[in-house]
Amino acid sequence: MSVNKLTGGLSLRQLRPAIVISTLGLSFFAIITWYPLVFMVATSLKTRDQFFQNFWGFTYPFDWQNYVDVWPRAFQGIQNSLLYSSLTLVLTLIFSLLGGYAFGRFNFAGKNFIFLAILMLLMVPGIVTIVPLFVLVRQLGIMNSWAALVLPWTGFEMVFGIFLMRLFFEKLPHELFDAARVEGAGELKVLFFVAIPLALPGLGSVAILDILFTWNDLVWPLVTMSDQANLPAGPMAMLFRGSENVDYGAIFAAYVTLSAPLVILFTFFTRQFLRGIEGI
Amino acid sequence: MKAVTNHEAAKATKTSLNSLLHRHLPWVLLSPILLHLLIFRYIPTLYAFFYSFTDWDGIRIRRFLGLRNFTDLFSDYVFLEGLKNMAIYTSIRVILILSFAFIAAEMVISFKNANIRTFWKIVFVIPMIVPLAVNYLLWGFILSPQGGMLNSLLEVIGLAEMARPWLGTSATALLSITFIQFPFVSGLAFLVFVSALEGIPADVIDACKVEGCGRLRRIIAVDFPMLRGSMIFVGVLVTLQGIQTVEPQLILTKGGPGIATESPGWFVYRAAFQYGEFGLAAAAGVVMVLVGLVFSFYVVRARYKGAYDVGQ
Repeated sequence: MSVNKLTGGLSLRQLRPAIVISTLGLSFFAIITWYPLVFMVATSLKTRDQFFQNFWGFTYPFDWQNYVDVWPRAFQGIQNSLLYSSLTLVLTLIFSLLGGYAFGRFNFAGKNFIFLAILMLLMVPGIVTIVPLFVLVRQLGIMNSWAALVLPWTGFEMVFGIFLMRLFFEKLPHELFDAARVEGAGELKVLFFVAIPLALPGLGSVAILDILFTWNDLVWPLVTMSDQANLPAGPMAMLFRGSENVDYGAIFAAYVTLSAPLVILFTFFTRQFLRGIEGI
Repeated sequence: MKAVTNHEAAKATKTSLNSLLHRHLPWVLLSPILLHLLIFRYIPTLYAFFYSFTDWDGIRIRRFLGLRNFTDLFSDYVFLEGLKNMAIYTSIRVILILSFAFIAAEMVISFKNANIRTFWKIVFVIPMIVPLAVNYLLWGFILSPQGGMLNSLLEVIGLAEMARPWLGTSATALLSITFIQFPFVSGLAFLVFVSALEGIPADVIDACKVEGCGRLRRIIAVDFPMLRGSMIFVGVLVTLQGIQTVEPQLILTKGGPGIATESPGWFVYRAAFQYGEFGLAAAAGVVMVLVGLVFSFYVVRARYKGAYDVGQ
């Protein structure tokens, strides 16, 4: 019975060595991957004394004071991230959709040349343009504002988005679009009522890549946001370390708080997330 | 009567407008995209190349230097050390990430039950979403000398004499940042491999079974060749990331101790934003893009030399 449960309803006869090895191996990987995260949560709930009494596990009672202490600053970072990431997401999705539609469903002079020119940008990594971009953003007078992050981020993220959406639109059958045109729908109607609904799964993949990118970028926000209160969640995490005496409880409470929004969001949408990644 | 003509005229203009729109729609759709890319991608890229030939403080160009920045870079032992570290860091990580992700993907595939597969995917997807900065900071704690998790673990299992300040010793610092995120399963590589393995047509595997091939034979004879495209794809991504690496330096080591963990990305960051040497920083960036281009050229060529991939 217990063996049955462990192997997910397989009978003992089906319990091949490959299954045993795989379960053990994956569990091993999972423990190494997860334990630091569990440790982070456990430590964030400890007072200083509890931390020194019991290093490895949870201690009771939980001490929530750490969270109360870090909340104002951490919340600021989360708010900033939500603003920057959602603006970038909207712009990136619009551009990817329009670009993918133009390349995927139309033939026009210079199409291949322009597509190649856009795709070439994938070869230019961010670190190369960081210096000219910095100067550009300063000249535009948008330093230290949402635009300093959102506009360049969109420029980076839409390239792969357009590429993905072109592939996506090319795979859709002609008939879906032709039928709408025969019915007398204008081009904009076709775009809004045929293309966009069909494009949603592809846009999901673009959105996942985009959110992960904006959520993880470190260098660019650190360079452009001279006011620390404007930093997004990731770089904000760096500010909690070592400023005062090292208080791991408070530091880890800040890390947990800053990580929580996206982890919670993606936990709810795990299946869509997996499907989106598989669409890449 | 008049109303009808009006109506028909309106219809005619509408259709001609529509056909006009149809003819030019791609350009209407693409123009905001091209404008945005021009401002935020193409012009900065051209400027990066242009400024790499100048002595530039970010406000005005002091002098035109020709190739001086480049000769300076290649006689700067800090930059050269960075290039060497980059090569070591990137090649080790490509091997580690590809192998661990592939092994884990094979393990997931050995379950026939779709729910069990999904369970394991979810287990490794969720840690992926923890912000990169938090991830590195956490690894900083794992590797830290006092009360760090690795040293404490060594103490618990009776290997206390092996404990050391992993990031603070020249001998171990580079290798330590290379092993950050061990066991590398929680990432894009793993998910790409799993979905590529799931995409192998059943008849190929059946044919293999009829031939009587076991698990290991199947991995070597079927999975490896079928996954070649995905491997190259992931390998390119990891390599390009490795070439640009700056996060471990920025968050953990500052390129030290000494110059033990210098990297070209960190060199660019410091040259520009600490020393105001924007021209030199631009030149270092150009060197990095050239390294990346040479690499991706070889990989793309290898990809088109008869690589076959089911996943894409």
